[in-house]
Amino acid sequence: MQIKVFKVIALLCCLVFVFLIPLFVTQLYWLHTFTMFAIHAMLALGLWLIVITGQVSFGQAAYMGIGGYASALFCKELGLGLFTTILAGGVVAGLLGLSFGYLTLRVRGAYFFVLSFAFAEIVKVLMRSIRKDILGGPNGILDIPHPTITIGALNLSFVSETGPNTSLYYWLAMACLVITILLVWFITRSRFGRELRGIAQSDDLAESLGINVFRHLLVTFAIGCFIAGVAGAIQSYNFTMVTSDWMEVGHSIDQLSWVIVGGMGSIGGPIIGAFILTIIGELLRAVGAYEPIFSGATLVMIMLFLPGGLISLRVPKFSTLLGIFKRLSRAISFTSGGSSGNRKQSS
Amino acid sequence: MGIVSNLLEVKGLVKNFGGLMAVDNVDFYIEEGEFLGLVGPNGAGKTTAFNLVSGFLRPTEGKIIFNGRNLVGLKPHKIASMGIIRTFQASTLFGNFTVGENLDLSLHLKARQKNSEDNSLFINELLDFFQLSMWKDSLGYDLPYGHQRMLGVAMAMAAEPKLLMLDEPLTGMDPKECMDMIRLLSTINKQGTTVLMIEHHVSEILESVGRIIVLSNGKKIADGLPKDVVQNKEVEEAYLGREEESIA
Amino acid sequence: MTTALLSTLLMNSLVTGLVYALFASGLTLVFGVMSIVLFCHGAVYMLGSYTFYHLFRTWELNYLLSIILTMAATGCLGLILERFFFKKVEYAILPSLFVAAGLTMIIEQSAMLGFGTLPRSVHSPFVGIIKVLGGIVSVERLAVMGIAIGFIVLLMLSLDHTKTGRAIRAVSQDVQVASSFGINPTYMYAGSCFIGCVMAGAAGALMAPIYGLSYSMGEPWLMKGFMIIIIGGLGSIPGSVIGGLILGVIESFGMFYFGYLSSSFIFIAVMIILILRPKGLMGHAD
Repeated sequence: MQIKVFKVIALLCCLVFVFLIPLFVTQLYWLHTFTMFAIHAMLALGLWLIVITGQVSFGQAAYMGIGGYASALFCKELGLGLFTTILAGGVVAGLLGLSFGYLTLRVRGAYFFVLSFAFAEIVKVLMRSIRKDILGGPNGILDIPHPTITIGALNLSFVSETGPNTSLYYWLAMACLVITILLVWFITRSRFGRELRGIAQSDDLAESLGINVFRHLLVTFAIGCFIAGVAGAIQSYNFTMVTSDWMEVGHSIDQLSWVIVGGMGSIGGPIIGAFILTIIGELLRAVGAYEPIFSGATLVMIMLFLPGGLISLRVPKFSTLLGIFKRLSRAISFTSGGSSGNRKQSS
Repeated sequence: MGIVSNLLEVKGLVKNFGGLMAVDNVDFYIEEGEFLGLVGPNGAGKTTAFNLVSGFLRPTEGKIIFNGRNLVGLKPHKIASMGIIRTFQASTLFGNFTVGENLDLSLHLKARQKNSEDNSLFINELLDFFQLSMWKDSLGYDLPYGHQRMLGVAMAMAAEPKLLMLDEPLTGMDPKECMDMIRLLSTINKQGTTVLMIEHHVSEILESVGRIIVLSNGKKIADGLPKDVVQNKEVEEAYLGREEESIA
Repeated sequence: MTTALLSTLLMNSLVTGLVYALFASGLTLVFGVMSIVLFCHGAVYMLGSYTFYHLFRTWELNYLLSIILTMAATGCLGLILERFFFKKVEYAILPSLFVAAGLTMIIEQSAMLGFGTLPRSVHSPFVGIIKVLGGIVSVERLAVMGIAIGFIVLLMLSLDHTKTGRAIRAVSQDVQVASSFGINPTYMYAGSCFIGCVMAGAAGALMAPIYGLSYSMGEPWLMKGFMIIIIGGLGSIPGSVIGGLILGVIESFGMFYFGYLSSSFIFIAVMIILILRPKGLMGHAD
């Protein structure tokens, strides 16, 4: 019982720390990166929710894009407020996912994987080609105004004379991430969530016990798409634009990487994966062209040597740490004292 | 015309797999409270018949009537909710879950009606009955084979079926485990659950079942008391025609 | 629509369709035998194109020899992939997919760094055009058609009539039964990876003179390959031929009449076909 209370307090401290970050991180570049992390983590969580049922969706980038487009349209054409449009973006994406899922969740495995990608491509091409007057063609929807929210008598604008209010965007993204984490956590901890994991192991067995497998998969898929849509909506405000480039296959691969590298075993996996890969992605900007090589290599290495993802790494206990220190010091004393041609195995 | 209608009635059941008649015009019925054995050599159509009744396959023709309702066209989970629970030969359990969690999942149909305390009590009763209590927190994958199959039956019972359909529950078990299983199944049956059991090795079940149906090449070739079926010439031929089988 | 126009469009469809079929047959074979998605197939195709470029244009080897050597090279790459990557993840579906995806990123980016971002071109050894039913088709494309047909037929015949081919087919049907007959599944996996990459290399070599080369040329092919094998049915080589031809037709006619919008047609076709026939046109239960 004590451990549980301790864990909750620790989590709350983390939460407070996370929300206080904009106060002491003044470099807007990094604040922006953390905002991107929050958006990526939401996408990763949505995808993770779908993947734990045993279905891999390769088209989540499309739902993110649709969320962005819907939110942008509701904002620009209908003049609706921030929270309404974000919610609308999510709902539209969720409904689209519901329709797609209804047609296709009868097939499983590789067929569903390819179908989900096919659907994403269709959506992408459509967004580029139809209603260019409001959808903007290949350029997408531009000049999305920075929103303003009113809390009581306080008018918070997401833009100031010096530029977009990065802190506000950060808080918005983080708040949505926290809500997403709670949502996904509740689902996976519930009976419904356990049934989902059962379905992943044997859908026939689940069905024989009275579980409506199709409906479970459909609902989960729609929720995952909803989350992706909300993330897309936030991003569309953050970038003040949305384009069909968001629906490129590379982004779907990125999303899968966050989930896989982080590990599928628990809810922390996609979050860690999104964090590590987003940060590494930014750090590697310096290396520019070599970035995909590093990302690709990371993916390969994780798959070959750590298939459970980063989350499956066990934090070393004190005695193990001591052991590692001992070995390291022995190795160092060898190389500094001995001749380089004399390689001995340290035991 | 009977005064008491049967629990399950199958009429004119046909399943045609693009030319291959897996089930060829089969009729049978089960009365409430019976312990019925479904036997036959490999490829006779037993599992196909199971899949047809439980909704995992759609019949080409025929009627399946359970408690007065036609099951044809219903999805498996709907049929399960009506009271028919079946087991599988492969995938008997959720390997990545513990035994307790497996049983908890199996309460899907009943969970909403009970509160969590009742659920826990019920699960413990089941564990006791199937002698799995000491394995409660072990992962399904870690269970010895015989216990895995026991768990499969326990999970089916957790759903409190009216008709329990078992697909070769004795496969791969040693003689002692077979006896334990049969004893348990008899007890379950005497407590009121109707049981339909596919079994390959007929000798083990001859004393426990009340009636045997024999399928061969998709057709029903015998239906009656164990003692009569065993002496049936056609049944003997069906089994002896395949060298590796024997009926008793 | 004149006969000439129809004929020209059809000829175009055949050329691309047959090479698509060649490419996809490798993809579907590997899936049928190993149940893994060869996500690096596009990258191998690209490497095949560049290999052919170096052999044919830089070293000025004979056209056919260049193609054969390219196929051998990509085939060896396939063996490396199987031995050091797919085997390591025990041929599990998702891990293989991600390993292949990661490798694709590495390969394509290395290609960009190594070969540059400017597309390259190589001339075909065939010149001239022929008129077929009023429509125009270049000899170059006819040659490609012929070679592609040849390779596909060769593939199908060897799967039917050679010992290894039949062993591979046995493994794709049922691994356990096959191994109980003494067939070593790992050898067959290696064999199918080899053949799969050989097909991708062949497609790359054949297409190099027609479409030119660029480091990202493999991406669209990979996606199209997926569509083809889904339409045709996973694991079915005749299915991938049909699928490839369908894609060729959709692209030629679609682009002519509908422009960019036509790039969505194949995906719409895939969705329709899968809704009507969930295992693809010729798929067997997997």
